[in-house]
Amino acid sequence: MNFQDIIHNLQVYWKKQGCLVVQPYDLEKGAGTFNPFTFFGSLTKKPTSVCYVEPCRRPADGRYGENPNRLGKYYQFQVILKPSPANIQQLYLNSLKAIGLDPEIHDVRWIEDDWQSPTLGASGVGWEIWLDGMEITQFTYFQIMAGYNLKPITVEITYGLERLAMYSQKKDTIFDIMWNDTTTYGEMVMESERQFSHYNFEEANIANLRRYVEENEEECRALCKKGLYLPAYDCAMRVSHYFNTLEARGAISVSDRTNIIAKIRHLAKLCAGEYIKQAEEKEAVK
Amino acid sequence: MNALLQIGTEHLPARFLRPALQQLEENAVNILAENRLKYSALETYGTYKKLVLEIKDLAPVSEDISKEVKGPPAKLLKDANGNFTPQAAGFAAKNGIKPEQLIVKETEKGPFIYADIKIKGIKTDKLLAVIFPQLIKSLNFAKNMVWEDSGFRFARPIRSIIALYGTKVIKFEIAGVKSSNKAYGLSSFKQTPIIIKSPEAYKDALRNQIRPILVDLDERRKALLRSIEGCTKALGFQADLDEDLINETVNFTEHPIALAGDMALSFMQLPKKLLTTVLKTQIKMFPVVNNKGELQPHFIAVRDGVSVNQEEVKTGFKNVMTARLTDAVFFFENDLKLGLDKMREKLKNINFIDGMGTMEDKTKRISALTSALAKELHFNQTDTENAKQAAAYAYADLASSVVYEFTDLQGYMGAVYAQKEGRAPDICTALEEFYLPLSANSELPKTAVGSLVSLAGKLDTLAANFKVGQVPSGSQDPFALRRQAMGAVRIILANNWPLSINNSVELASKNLPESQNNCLKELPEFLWQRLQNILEEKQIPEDIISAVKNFDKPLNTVLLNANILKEELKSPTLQAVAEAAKRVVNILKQAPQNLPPLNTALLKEEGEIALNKAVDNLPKAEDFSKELKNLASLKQTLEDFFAKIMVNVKEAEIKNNRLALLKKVKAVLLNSAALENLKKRG
Repeated sequence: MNFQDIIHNLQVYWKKQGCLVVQPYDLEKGAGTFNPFTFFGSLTKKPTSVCYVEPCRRPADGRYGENPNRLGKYYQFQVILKPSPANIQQLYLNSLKAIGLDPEIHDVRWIEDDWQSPTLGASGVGWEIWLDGMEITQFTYFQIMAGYNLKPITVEITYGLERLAMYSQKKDTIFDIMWNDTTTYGEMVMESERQFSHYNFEEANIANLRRYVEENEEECRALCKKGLYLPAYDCAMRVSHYFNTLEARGAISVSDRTNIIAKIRHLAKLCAGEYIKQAEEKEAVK
Repeated sequence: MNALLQIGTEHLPARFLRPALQQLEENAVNILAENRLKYSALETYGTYKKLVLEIKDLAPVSEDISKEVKGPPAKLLKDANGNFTPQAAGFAAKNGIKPEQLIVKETEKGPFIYADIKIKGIKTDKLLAVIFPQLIKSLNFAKNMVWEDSGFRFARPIRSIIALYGTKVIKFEIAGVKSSNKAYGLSSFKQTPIIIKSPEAYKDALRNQIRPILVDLDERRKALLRSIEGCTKALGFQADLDEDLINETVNFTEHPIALAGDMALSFMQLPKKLLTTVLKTQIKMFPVVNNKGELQPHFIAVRDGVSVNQEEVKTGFKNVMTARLTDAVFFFENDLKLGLDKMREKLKNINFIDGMGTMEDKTKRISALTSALAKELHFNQTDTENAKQAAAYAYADLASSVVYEFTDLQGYMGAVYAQKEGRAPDICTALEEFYLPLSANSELPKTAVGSLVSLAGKLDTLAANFKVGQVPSGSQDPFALRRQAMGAVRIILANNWPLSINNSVELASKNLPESQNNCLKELPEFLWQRLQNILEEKQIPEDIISAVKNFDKPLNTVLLNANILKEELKSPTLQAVAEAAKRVVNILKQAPQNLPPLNTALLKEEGEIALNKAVDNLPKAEDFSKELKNLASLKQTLEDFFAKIMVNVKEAEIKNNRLALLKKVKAVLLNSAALENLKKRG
């Protein structure tokens, strides 16, 4: 199945399950969990079910397009459901059928893997799912987001789209994946992988990046004070991305690392706190 | 009638299964006893999706209680006005009856109030509706989660519950799940319910599905081994049946089915342990070996409950394996290119423990310690050189990519790289043996050179940790220092090296940096406790261990002395001398601090003259056994002394002189062992 059809079929499948099909959020992020639908969506009582493709940037993982299994930018497909339905595992298995992978004739394993994100102050319990030995999905019941214990519980399903496509198309390298019948994944991304690897590892201006981190941190705090948690959260996401770039650039010491992660976690908590406060006020007015 | 509880969950982590089943069994035994429910047998079994408790011949009603409880004296039953006293009312309430039901009975000590308690048994089905939820709540896991609104905590979501007493469903609800008689099949298939008619039908009902589920762990284990054997027989080889991997596989399958696949020949160049570690730990596959134990280019993977579409699945497994092994080859080749010398240089970037420098510093310390120990133990020049070389590279592989990815391969990989670089076989072996023993009773280094370097590494780790105040206490031993100390003691004993505890600690602490929280003085006692464990295992009584306790004698001598003392104490004569030694020690406790020296001219009585003479004339003893025999020979003289001589006489001069004599006697008696610590033997 072509890469674009896997995405399409997952969207169609989850739309049928009642999910809102939304578009990717337009900022750099290291993982789909940063998407505001996931981050804010998990924090309050309001039920939610959404799905979306999310491009993720991991500056340090880029390999100039030379390693068949590594990318600096790749795509996740996320499903966010709250509350978590009792038949969620079955719903997931059916979604594999929708992309041509019948769990009844493959080996599907649920291997213990409890997810956590120190930058978001978030953690959850769940599995990585293996299809014939290959890890294709991360399945998590969120327990904590931005330091807040969650109720009700959100379930997050994150499909590794490139892995699924490689398996489905029996390709040995990411770059050979067929995006459609005529265009390969490599043709689509190779130049970007090459250029961004140069940028992230060699050219990114360290002094500027440090300044961006400081400016965005400052702005995030100021915006939170004014109750503007959405633009504030954008700033927090930017801090996180600039931090990742600094790390790829080799400009982060061990103690730096701990400090900046704590800083981002604090910003995420400020945004989450403001959002919860306003949501409760709205609830009270009703 | 039989009873059955099945907690149906989403996929429990494999490691949680056995502890959960054990708890389920223990807690069931306790809760059933508390509820006075009799049964003939009880067992637990299950899979990662089913925790099952089966109770055989569970009585239909709990047992009646009929007993009399004695209360306060009868005069406290009622007051002058004929009302029950607070004491009587309280006693009745405590026993769950009304004051009117209290009775008075005569006893040997006069009349007392009694509560005559009779409680009727309760019907089992009613009790189970309480007991089953209580049992589910009683299970503890290493980690819990919440998944639904009631906030119930469990390792993974509970999705179904079977609760049966005979054919009857015991009704209750927990975490939003209502109990029923429905089981569910393999997780990758459509979840249609399987009706369980009765507890005894449960196992068969699941086994007789089109896609069988084996709920019994032993049955599953046998099926796994059978299935693996089927694969290996066809190949003409055997599987490397790692016990941990077998258990793990049994824990994460409901019906294990093995399949065999091929491996590219190029991977056979990988070091054996590296290849098997990738297979076993990263992708849970069994390596294949011939009857000499040599690796073969095949693998055995295990599927859960399905055996269709084998070729495609096999290709999938093979691709994953190939990707992982390709990574391993990449790491391994990079390491070979780098070489041990370059790796060793990188050790300056790896911290050991705060305050004790880097791994490069540690390497320097153990090199110096190895030299010092080799000198102390009179190693020949070749062995000394080899030991120094091995010490210099002992930690180099910590900077290799392979050990970074697979920590368990430390030491082993160092040896592999040393071999590839053509280093002396003794050095390679020493590197491989460096981390041995891995546990309290496991294999020790076999070569003298390996033992020496391994000992140096352990002593340095111990001394460095103690010097920065990281001393294990209670269950807190994050750096596994007890294991390190046990390893050090066992190595010294096994090689029969003349090293004492103090000697070892002194050598190990020579080159350590200064530190604020220095606790090095606690290290000798810490090492002693390990030796004590070994003595206890050899059935040496506690008091004998305490009598031979010594930090300055070689460890082996202490061990030997303990056995000799145990043997010699079979003689009543030595026992009597030990008793006399205790008496001497007790008397001297009251002696003034600065006794004048013994003046033989003041010895007048025969008893004291004889004792002094006997002590002076003790023959030289060449070993511990002879020493003890010498002491035993003093029995009569000592007993005569205590029978005839009064120490605490009025004349201070005589008294002090006799005390001085006893001081001299004490020194002789306690010279070889702390006899005063021995208990009286019956």
